[in-house]
Amino acid sequence: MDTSNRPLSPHLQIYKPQLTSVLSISHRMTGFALSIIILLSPVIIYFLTNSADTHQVVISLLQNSIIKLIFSLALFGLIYHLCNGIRHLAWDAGYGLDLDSSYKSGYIVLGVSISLTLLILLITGAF
Amino acid sequence: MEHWKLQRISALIMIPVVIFSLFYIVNITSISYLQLIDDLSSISGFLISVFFISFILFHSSMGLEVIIEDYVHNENLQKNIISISKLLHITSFFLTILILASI
Repeated sequence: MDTSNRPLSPHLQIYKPQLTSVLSISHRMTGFALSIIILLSPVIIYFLTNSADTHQVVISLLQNSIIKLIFSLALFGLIYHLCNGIRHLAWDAGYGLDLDSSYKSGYIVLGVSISLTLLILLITGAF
Repeated sequence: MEHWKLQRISALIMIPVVIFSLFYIVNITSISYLQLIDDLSSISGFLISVFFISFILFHSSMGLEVIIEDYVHNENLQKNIISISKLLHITSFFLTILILASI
């Protein structure tokens, strides 16, 4: 079978960035980062539940400003992946596939995930 | 069932799962150690946690598989990395169950 003439995935190094393509690759990048976090979750759960002392270690680590920044970025990654995932599910069901709607839903996803992240950080008093 | 459908179905289930976990996790610093142990050691807390972690790891494993398939072109290497990824997810699953069950 001739496989030399198949369509290629966009080469990210030379593909002109647009809102739609940036949001698409961001979905994968946030998904990848969230996978790493979830694979590490047993360690965090272990320290949180092992004893009052180890629990305190995790809680005091969470007060550290660098850890807070990482936590905030992870929170944004999760909320973005959630919102954009809903957008992808709508596409899979056949809704909003035209170019105009893709851009509109893209801006909505970006706006909603940034606002929700900031809102949660404000309410929980992270900053 | 095919991979594509399973990934979408797990994504749909993840929507309420993630929203519920998020409410808990962002408040983790204001939940005391005893409260946390109480929440996780109750039967409902244990079952909800196991249900959540199962779906999250399932969704994560399938997502990573697609990413690896797209970016690792050497067939042998691709298969090996996918196996390692699955093994890590299974290990993470059993470790979490073990930790939750021993609370």
